Amino acid sequence: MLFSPINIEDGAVHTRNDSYLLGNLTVVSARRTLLGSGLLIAGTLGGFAFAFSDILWPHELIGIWLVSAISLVGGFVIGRLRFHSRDLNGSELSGVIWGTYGHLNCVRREIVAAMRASKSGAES
Amino acid sequence: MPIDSSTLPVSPNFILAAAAIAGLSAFITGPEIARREIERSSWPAICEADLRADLEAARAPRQVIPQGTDCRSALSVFYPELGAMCEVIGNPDPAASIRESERSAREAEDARIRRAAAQVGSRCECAETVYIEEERLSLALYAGSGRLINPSSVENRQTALTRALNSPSCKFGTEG
Repeated sequence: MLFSPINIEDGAVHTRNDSYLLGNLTVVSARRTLLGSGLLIAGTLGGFAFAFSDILWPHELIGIWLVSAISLVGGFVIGRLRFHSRDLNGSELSGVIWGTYGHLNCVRREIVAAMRASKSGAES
Repeated sequence: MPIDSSTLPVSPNFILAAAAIAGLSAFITGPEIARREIERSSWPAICEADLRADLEAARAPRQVIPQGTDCRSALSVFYPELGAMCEVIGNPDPAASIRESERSAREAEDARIRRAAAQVGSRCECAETVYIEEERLSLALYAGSGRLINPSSVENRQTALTRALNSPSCKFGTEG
């Protein structure tokens, strides 16, 4: 699942608001950027619920475990696809697509394959 | 000067999450955990009992006024026949005014004790609030670490609460 659309066609990557020429892209990276914070929140909340289970109400415990589980799953599942190029380096445009990590990784491979095809097409 | 987040040893999301957890511990979970643990402890009962005992101990001693100081009682001991004469002059009692002032002083003292006793619960709650405000950081550490860090003000909570109870903020109702 992707939180915004992405298409690879005609030697360019098109997102909702921007288009990137494949020839200008140098690095495409998919990372679980929320993993650290997800683990921190899940660990802290889980530890809190475990340590103070004697004075927390059952509905509070359920809520805390739920948020903890969502943070953990979110940290592992949600990812961000970033495009890097000489032109975009350091600009806000370099971080563009959010979605599930698995799907973003597939898109990353598709973009790299398209970049390679575009490069070999240009050379021949 | 702008900070390049890519040069930080941890991600900005991690720093944000850590800051959110710290804020949550300081302003929500820390105070709430302290409130619940105090409620479960014997502190509220001990506090109220101690304050009531203090009030009784501080009660002004009763002034001893001898009985039978009126004319009839005083004279009939030695001259019973003169007792009737006292009635003619209205059986005067030299200690009557002292007895009356002692009665009104007693009533005022009882009213003061009643007023102070009505505020005993509020004073104990005040001590709890002052303790939570003053020990916010310790309570945040205690709650955030899941009881792993046990600062002295949490370990000796009863002492800290008594100190808060005797602080100027919670002295209301004790003045004359």
